[in-house]
Amino acid sequence: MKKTKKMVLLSILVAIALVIYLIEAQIPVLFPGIKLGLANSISLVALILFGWKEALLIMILRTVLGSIFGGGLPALMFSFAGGLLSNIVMIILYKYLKNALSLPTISVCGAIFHNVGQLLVAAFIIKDLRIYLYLPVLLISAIVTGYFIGTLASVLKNRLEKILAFDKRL
Amino acid sequence: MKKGDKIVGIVLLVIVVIALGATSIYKASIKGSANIAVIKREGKVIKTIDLNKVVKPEEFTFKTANGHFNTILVNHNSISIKDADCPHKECVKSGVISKPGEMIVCLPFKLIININGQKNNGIDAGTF
Amino acid sequence: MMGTVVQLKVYGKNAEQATKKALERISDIENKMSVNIETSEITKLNAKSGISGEKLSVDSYYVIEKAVQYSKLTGGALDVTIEPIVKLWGIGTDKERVPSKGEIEEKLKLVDYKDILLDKKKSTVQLRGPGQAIDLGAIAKGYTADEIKKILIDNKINSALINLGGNVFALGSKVDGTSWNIGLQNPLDTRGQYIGTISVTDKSVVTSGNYERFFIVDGKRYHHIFDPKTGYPSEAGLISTTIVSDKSIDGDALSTSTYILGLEKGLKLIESIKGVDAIFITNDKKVYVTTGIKDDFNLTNKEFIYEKR
Repeated sequence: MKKTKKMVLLSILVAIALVIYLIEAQIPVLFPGIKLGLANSISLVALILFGWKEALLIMILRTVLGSIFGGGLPALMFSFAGGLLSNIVMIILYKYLKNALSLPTISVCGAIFHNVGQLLVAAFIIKDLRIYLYLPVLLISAIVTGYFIGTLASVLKNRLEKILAFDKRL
Repeated sequence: MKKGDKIVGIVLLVIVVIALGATSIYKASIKGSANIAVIKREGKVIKTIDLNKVVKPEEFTFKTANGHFNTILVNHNSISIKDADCPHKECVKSGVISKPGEMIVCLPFKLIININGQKNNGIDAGTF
Repeated sequence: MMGTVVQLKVYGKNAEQATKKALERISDIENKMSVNIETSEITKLNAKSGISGEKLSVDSYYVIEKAVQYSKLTGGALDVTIEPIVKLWGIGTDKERVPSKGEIEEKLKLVDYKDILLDKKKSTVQLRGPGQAIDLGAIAKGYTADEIKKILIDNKINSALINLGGNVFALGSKVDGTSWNIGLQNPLDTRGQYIGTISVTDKSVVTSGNYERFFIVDGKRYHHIFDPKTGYPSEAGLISTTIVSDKSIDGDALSTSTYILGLEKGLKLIESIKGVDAIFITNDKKVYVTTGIKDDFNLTNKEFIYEKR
């Protein structure tokens, strides 16, 4: 598709990701600054529709813009570590195993690594190994949100593909 | 469902069970007769409180060098951050902790509240 | 009590009664031996120095007799006639100061354990010259701990932890069968910060260090373990000596003596006494442990270097 069109689409996706990020920031969590990672769903959609570069781009933009809205350095580190790990995992899984794995599964894996990334940053900040006691809770939360995001991404993919295909024909 | 899904699903299940098992064992092992709350700022212990021995609610306020504060509320077998002037007050939202292994964190002030099940890191007495 | 904090952990059916008796005994001993109590036997003894002797209770006589034995064993490193020097420096009071060389030399003349005249039959002790005085501070806590142990055992207690201001006696093992873990104070950090732990059952653990009582003048630290030969705080290269023994009176006496003797002589002395072990910390953060307790000692603070021997 044309460059401007792509840019507009990506911008919209970034905006949506940002909104999701800001809303999920209101959800109470175990540890100040960590997030559920719902915004990664947008990266997944971008990964499917465009490719890995776009997915990462959206994640970076969303993280940087999100930090402007507050949260401070720790929140930025959590977002970045979580987002990066999550995206890399999903990119690899999608590229090599997209036929063996359904989207919800890829998304679950992404969500798990999103939380693993956040946990690693938290452990680094407070330098207390006991933070890993939160691992089971975060794993389960990741599976649930991951599944939800994956299903959502699946639906979005179908809808957007139809729109974009229709658009190409015009 | 695709073939890979089932495999991933099983692997995840095993991981979750192991994680749950490991943390449960750890929590059981650090359980002691005591509920000692340890408050650390920047890694240094600034106060320890035996929550078992607290009868009526008490409050402490800790001030940082640049004028910020945390107010901690202590009750019988529970501790929480009542108020703080950090930006998001996440620590206040964290609520109350009461068992060994639980923790509350105020990141901006590098304040951590842990609960230890045992006293004195396994030391029964010290010579000096 | 005894000018310090007393902590007793007593387990067993008769715990309450045993503890009560133990506390009474501590008071009893303190009233007999403290130089800070005007009516104590030691105060009376000191008042009569150079004149006549004072009849003493079994406790006081025994402790002085033991002190003299240790003076002989350590070549005078332990010397309870050090009191005139202690008083001169005033450490621990609001009169603490650095005396002049002349003042010290004068008072040093009064320090000599050979001037303690013992009469066992009459249970009487006399100090030979006027102005001489005895201070049992270096040995009394150890004696007291041993006496408390006796009381606890008489009351059928077989698991307890006695801590008299840092002078520790671990009776038996813990209720769950494991050894008692005693932390060794880090001489260079605040109280409660340990360099390591020692696991013991039925042992006394006593430490002497330059950080317990001191004052600082012009950037120099003056601590409370005086060398009876110089009249100044001992600077033999050790900053902390810990003695592990069966009897606390031995631990107390030896921890002070070895601090004054220094590393070489201290290690030699301890290795020559059966049933006694030691952990020495030098002023360059090296830790030396005698063979008997090597396996029970655990160094946790990596700032200190364990010296293999």
